[in-house]
Amino acid sequence: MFLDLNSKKLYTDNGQLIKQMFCPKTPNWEEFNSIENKPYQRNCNHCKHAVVDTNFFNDKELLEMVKNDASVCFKVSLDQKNVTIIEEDN
Amino acid sequence: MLYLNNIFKNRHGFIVFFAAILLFSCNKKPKKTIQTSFKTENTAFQYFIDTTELSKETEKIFSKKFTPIGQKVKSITIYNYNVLFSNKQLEIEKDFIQLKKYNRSGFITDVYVKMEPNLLHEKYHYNSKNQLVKKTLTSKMDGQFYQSSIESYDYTKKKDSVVIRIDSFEGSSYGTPTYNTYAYDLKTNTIDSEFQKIKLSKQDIHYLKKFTRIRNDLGYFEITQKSYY
Repeated sequence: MFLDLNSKKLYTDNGQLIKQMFCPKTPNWEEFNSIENKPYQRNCNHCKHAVVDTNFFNDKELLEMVKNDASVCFKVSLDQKNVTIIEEDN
Repeated sequence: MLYLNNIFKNRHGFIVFFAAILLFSCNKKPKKTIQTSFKTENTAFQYFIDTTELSKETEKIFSKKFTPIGQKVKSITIYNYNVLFSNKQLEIEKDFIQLKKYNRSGFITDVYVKMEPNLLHEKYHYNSKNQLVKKTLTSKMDGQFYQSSIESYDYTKKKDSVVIRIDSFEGSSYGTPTYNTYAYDLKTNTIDSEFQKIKLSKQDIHYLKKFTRIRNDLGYFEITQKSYY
């Protein structure tokens, strides 16, 4: 997948938009409440939403998550192996 | 063409020509690497560069001109995709701005290492599949211009071996930044995590906060905002 740092949009490898990353809070993954048997998911300590670590999923699975719940929260780290960081012109 | 025609006019020239090609293609060079490293107050940088394709003369200059291990530098600036090291406060040059951008259809990543008065410019060309297809080394030293390029190697197919090792930093806004030493091996497509963690000084943190990000696969990563939500 691709993360465009200008628009904060997360795309599949085929260029399909998965989600635009936008969190008004300043989340901290380390402070999130971990969930037993779900290393890929934690609960946000600001809004209690579940935050899914995209490192554990492929494009298709992420698209499916967004389809089922458009408000799903993702975490994308810049050092993830399955993410390519891009910066496209506005 | 005229030159080639002259060569092929007689049989002797023809044999010499193909013998030269055969000799050239069989002459596999052993891989050579130059290591350079330098330190700020508490931070060590290391840079490994493959010099197999460089001429002896250029290699000599590289070895001689690079800052010896342990020498302190006054400032380090990393500006988006460009990595700059220098003994002086650097100005962002126009070329850097022009070359820093890359996109999904044609990845171009540039890494500049600048140590006054020398400039080393490494340019990485990627295809649409994010495979490294070409690497160009350009060095401008003592007013002279050297260039060497390694054509068409594809690290996903693990053909050739060019090892680029760039120490990089890994830190977060959440706690005390630390730095890791990454060694990215294009041959094995792996990152060697022979890192050691050290605490950074305030000055180091000040520099690091200027960094936007460094792509992980070329030693790039980001320091102030590690993750997006």
